Amino acid sequence: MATREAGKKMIMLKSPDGMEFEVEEAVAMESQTIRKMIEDDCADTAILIPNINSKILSRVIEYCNKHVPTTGATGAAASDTVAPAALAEDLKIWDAEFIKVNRATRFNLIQAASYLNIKGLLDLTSQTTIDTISDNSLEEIRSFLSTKNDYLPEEEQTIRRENQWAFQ
Amino acid sequence: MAPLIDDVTAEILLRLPPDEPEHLFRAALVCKPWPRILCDPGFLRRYRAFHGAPPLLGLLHRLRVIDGDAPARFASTTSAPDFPHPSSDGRRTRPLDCRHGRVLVRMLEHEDMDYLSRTPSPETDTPSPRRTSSGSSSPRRCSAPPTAATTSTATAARSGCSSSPPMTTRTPYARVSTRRRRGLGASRCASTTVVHALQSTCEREKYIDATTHPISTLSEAPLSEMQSTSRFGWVTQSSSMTWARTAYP
Repeated sequence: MATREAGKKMIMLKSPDGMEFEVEEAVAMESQTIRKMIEDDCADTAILIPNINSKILSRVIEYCNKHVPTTGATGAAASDTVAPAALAEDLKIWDAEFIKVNRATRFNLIQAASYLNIKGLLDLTSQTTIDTISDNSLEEIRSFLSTKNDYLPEEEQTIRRENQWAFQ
Repeated sequence: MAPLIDDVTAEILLRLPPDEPEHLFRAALVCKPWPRILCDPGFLRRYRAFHGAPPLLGLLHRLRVIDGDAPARFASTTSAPDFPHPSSDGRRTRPLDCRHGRVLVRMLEHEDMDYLSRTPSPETDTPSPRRTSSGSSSPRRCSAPPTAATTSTATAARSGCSSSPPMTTRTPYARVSTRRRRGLGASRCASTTVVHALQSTCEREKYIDATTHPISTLSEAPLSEMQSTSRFGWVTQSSSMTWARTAYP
C-alpha cells in the first residue's frame, strides 16, 4: 500500500511467500520494472513480485537502498563532506562484500535483477559470475553452473576438431 | 542446485569478453542449450549493443619484404591467433580493400575472390552494399605510408562501423561504376568499381554475409586492374559473434 511517512512516499512490495516489504519510492524505483508500474499508477496496492522469494527480495532491497542516489537535504550534506570518488570507492567495496554469497543465491539474484530490471545489480552479479568461469575448464564451468554435458562424445570431438584454435 | 534458466544464462553469457572470440566457442561446448542461446538473433543484438563497437581482432596488411618469406597477411591482436581468418587455412591471400568491416580478399592460388563481411548491426547498419562512408575511404589515407595508413584506417573503421551512422548515398556503386579509375587518387572509386564489377559479373548480388558464409568464393572476378589500387595496409574489424555464428548455425 502506498503511504506517506515523513514526506517520503512508500511502496509496498510483496514476495510470493507472503512477506511484505515497505520501501521508499526512490529505492523501489531503482528497479525499472517497478518504476514503470509506479509511473503507470499501478502501485497503489502492494506490488507482488513473482518468482522472487523473501530472502532474495530482501537482499535486492538492501542493494537498492545502498545504491539509491543520495538526494535532498541529507544527500547534499553527505556529498559536501565526502568526495564522489570516495563514495564510488565505498560502493565498490560494499558491492564486493554484497556479492559474497553462495551460487544459488547469486543466480537467484541475477534472475531477480533481470526481472526487476536493476542494471547495477545485474551487472554486478553477472559480471562476477562470468569472471569466475571465463578462465575455467569446461568441466569446471559445468560443475559450477550445475549443467550437464549433453553432448555425445563424438559430437564434442567433432566440434573440438573443427574449431581446434579455440581449444588450445 | 537447479540448472540455470535460459534468461540467467543469457545474462551471464552476455558479458563474455568479445575481444577473445575463443570464449564463445568454449561456452558453446558447455551444453547444448548454450549455443542455441549464443546464436539467438535477439541475444546477438543485445551482445553487440552491450559491448558497443566490435573489437579489433586483427589487422590485414600488405607489407612486403625485400628478402625472405613474405610475412603473414593477417596479424591477430587476440590471444588466439589461429582463429578462422583469411589465410588461416593455409591459402595465400591478398586483402584488397576494407569497408565497414567488410573485407575484399583475393585468393591468390585459385584466382578467385573471397569477400568477407562483418554482420551488419540492424540498429546502425543499413545493408552495406548500398552504403558508403566518406570517412574511412578518403584517397589521402590510402596513399599515406603503410603504418600511418594502418592506424588511421583503424580509427576510421571503428567510427564508421558502429558508433555513428556514416554518410550514406543511394546506390553508390551504380553511379561510381561509370567512372573509371585514373591513377592513384581514387581508391574509393576504384574499389567500389570492383565491387560493382563483381556484381555484374556474377549477375546477382554476391555480398556475402559472414553469418552464413564466412569465406565464400566468387569466381571469375575481374581483378587485374585492381592490383595497383590498394597499396597499403588495410585494417579489418570483425565481430567475434560472426565467427561464433558460422560454426553453430
